[in-house]
Amino acid sequence: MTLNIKQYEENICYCSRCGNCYGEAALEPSSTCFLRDYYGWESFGPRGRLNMCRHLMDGTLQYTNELVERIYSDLLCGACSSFCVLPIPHFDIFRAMRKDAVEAGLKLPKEIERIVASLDKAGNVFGAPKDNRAKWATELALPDKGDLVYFPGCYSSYTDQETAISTIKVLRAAGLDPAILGTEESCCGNPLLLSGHANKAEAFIKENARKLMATGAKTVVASCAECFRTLKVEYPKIVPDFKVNVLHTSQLMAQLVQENRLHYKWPTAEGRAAIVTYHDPCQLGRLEGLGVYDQPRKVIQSVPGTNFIEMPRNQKLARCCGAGGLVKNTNDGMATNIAVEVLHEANSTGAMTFITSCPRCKKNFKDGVKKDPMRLLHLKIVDLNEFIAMHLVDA
Amino acid sequence: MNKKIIKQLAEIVGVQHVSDDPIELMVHSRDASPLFEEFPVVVVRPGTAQEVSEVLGVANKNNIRVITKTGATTPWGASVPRQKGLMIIQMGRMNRVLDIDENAMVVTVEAGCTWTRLERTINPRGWRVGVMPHSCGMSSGVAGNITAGSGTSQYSAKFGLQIDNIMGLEVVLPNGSIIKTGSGAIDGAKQFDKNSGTPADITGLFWGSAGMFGILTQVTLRMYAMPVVTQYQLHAFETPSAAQRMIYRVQKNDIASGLFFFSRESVATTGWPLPIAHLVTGSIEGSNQTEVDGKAETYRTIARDEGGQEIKDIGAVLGAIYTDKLMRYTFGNETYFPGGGRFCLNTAFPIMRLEEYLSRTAVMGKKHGINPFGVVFIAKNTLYGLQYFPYYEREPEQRRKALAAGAEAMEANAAAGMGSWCMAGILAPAFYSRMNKNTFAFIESIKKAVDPNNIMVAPWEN
Repeated sequence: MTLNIKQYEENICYCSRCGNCYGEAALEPSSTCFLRDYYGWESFGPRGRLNMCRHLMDGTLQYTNELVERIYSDLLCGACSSFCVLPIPHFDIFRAMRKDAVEAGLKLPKEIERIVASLDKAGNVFGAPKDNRAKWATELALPDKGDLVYFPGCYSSYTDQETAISTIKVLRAAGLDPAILGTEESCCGNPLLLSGHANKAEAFIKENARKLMATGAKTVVASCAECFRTLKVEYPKIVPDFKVNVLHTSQLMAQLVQENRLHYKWPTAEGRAAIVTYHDPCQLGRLEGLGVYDQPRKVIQSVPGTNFIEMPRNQKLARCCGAGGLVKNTNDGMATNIAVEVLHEANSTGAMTFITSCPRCKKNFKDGVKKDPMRLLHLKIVDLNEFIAMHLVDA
Repeated sequence: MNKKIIKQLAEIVGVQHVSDDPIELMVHSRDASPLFEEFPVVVVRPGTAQEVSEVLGVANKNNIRVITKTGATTPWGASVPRQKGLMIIQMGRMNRVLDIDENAMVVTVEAGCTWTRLERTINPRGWRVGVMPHSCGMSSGVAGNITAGSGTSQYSAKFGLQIDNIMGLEVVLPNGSIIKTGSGAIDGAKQFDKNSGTPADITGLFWGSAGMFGILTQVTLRMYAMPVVTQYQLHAFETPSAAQRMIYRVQKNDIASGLFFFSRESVATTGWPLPIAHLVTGSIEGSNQTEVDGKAETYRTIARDEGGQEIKDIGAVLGAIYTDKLMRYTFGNETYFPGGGRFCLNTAFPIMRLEEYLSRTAVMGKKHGINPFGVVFIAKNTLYGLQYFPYYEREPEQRRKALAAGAEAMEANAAAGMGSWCMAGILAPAFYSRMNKNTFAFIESIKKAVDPNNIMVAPWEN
């Protein structure tokens, strides 16, 4: 078997084991990388995992089932690369480990198997009926063709429909007429890329790309950070003809703000006093150097009366919400604990409203609030699209 | 590893904090050095001094030899197991900042607290530590740094070595007793001073001991107020001898808070945006602008007298050297060049022997086909050179050359009366073989007295 990590051999060998990847530069009390703090063991952190890669390439370590927990505990959030001064693409390497694990036929975590089975069966991560995918849009009478296509993804289609509905409200308020694929849409393919099932992901990507191109779309906009990154970065790799402009809703809204096309209600006295803060999803900013940091902030601050305060760790150094790398599925306890820690950091801003730009992050943060309601119940967790929609005059 | 022993250890620290998993042992077999020789047989992560004590009880009872790790970031193999059958006591769980005593101007941390965490905690309160190690990565642990004997920083010109700043320790001796050094040795007293409480400098015994006399569990360090005004200077010299004369005079007149020397070859290697020359950088601090301006003028006059050419308008770069962007995160990491490792040799010598030191290292590098580079720190009256011998990780021959060049340079330095200030790691045996026999016997006798079962690995054998 040719190891997928082998293509990163040179990068893997760059690692000098300095340990910067744990992100100790960031604020106390804990490192930016949760894994070593949570598991306590070197082999669960990025430095240990790179060391394992070296042994795997040298043949002194084999892909066995003992490695599975370590490989699938990673958040794939890319924070380690923010602290590493060498050109080591941790995200790509650790994802390649998962691909190797699949190809080696290892016994994967059962939640990973379940997601793959759901995608095989129904084209979405929940295994929900395909016909229900566009139920959220029933009342909205959205076209199926147009210059602008909205791609809500699995979460906003099935479980976080407020985000999808809000997105349409915002776009329409600005005079846009977005189309959707509706029941023709399938999962963007990212969960399969993250689980190591690259071949299966390719089928999803090809099918979605074909359908998106058939709509005549010039621009595809996604409200989910994961869908956005996949459409933007992975689709052109697999479908070279996919030349559609891919935007995250925060990018499109920033343009609309710039063009003065969003009109807000006058803030109430309570609204003027409210502090809001923002969580940077890894797949929107840090990974692949996408760097969508300024646009969501500009959009938030365009709302009259908004008192925006940054979290202590933000942008490139932001912590993962805890749901990354399918960890929400494989280790919900850890994912929620991480969300609680991030929300405690958000508390230090005095915010009452906590905004994010990814439905997966939103779900995990909501679970975090449930886990520590005494200290977190005051925080209203919303998607950026919801936040804007609730302040629009026309909404 | 015997399962009975694993069970005993698990009963002490909790089952989740003991591992004999081969994968875990594998990743604990290295630090940031080229060394990779043996796997430990078990890794234990205690959470308190009492747990450390009980773990050592198990080690004594079962004749298991022990080394400790905190951040595992030394580039000279201080925490790499080089014998079979070792237990690693990993101190990462004990990572809290325990007490910031602003009245006594000291801070107490647990052994596994990283320097970064410590500094990030006290800086916002207007305090800093005197010696914040620079080159060993952000994950370097406080106790590991002390037992490895490292201890210079960008401010050593003013604050000396780490040992000058340690105000007390809590240590678990090999027999399991928990002791305190310094003022804390008096029952009920706090740690604030290392010279009171015991008739001898017990604290100093543990600095650079590589853990052979016991395991540090708490460290109390002196804190200093952040400076009000700081000015940076950079001068280029044609020769190291001119630079060494300038450094000598600056130190004699007690002008600078921080001084570094970079050889021409090192500057060229790192690719910094600085002129390729022998460079001396200085930071001058004070409580007001007038004081700093006065000191800076004296500093510049000395540099000029010795042929130094002042390099201006590089405030941002130079400031970064003295804060953390370049020196700690980049200089330390420039040595982590792509695809490479580096083996570090540490040498202490008087200021006026800088040129001799550099030429000896260059000769060794040339002989072995290695291009060594590094930095020289100035700490009071002594220079502390970190010389890196680079190699490519995937090329065993280069690695062998780097180690050979380092070892030979160490031998040659020791023969010339220049000691190492990091006495743990691969070169330690060579270093100890040069030590005065009576002095070495004295150290051995202390080791035997505190560790009759010889469970702690001594630096000369690891």
